[in-house]
Amino acid sequence: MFRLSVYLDRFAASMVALHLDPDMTRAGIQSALTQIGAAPGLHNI
Amino acid sequence: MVCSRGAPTIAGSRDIRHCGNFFYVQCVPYVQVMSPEVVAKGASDCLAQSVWRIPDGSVDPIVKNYHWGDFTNGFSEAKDAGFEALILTDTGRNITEGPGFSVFAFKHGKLFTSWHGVLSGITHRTVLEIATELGLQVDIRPVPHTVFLDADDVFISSFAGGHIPIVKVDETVFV
Repeated sequence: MFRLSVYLDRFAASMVALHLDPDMTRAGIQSALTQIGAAPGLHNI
Repeated sequence: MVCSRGAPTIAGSRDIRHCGNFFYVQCVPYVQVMSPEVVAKGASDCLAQSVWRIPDGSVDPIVKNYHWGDFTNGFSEAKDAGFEALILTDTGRNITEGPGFSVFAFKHGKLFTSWHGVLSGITHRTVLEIATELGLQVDIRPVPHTVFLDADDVFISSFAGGHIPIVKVDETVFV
C-alpha cells in the first residue's frame, strides 16, 4: 500500500482534529486495511 | 478508510460526544479523476467565478472530508462553460485545489503550489519530493491566480495518484 504509514498518520491527526474516535488502535486500522486489500488478491509491496 | 460521526446514542441529542463513531474500510479499483482521453490530451480547467474555496477556518481541507458544496457548485459552472474541470480560488483569488486533485504551476525552473485551502495530500507531497530530487526549486506559498496563469506549465495531481497535464485554464493556453 502506497505510503501507508503516512496515510495512517494523516488519518489519526484528522480524527483528533474532528473529535472522532472509532475506538480502534493504529494496528487495528492497519490490519483492517491489509485484510481488505488482500481479499481480492492484492498484496503489499 | 473513513471515520464517520455516527448516530447519536441519545435520541435527539446534538452533542457529538453522544455519537457512536464508526470506522469503514473498502477496497475499490483505481479511479482516475478524469477520463483516459482527457488524461492523454491534457485537461481544460476553469477558475471558478461563482464560488470560492470554503475558508480554512470553516472547513479545514487539511483534514480529508466530505464537504464538497464548493466543488459541486464550481463543477456545474465549469461544465456549463465547456471545461472539463475546475480549480477553486480562495476569497483573495489565490489558487487552492480542484475536486480530487492538487494544483501545481511551473515557472523558470520553480514549482509553485499552495499551502492553504488544500488537502494535506500524500500524492501532493510525493510530487514535491520528486521535484526536489530532480533539482527543481519548490515554493509552497499562496499562488495568486495571475501568477498561475503566467506560468510556463501547469498540472494537477490526483488524490488517488497520478498526474494530469492542464492545457488550458480559462482563456490561457499552455503548450
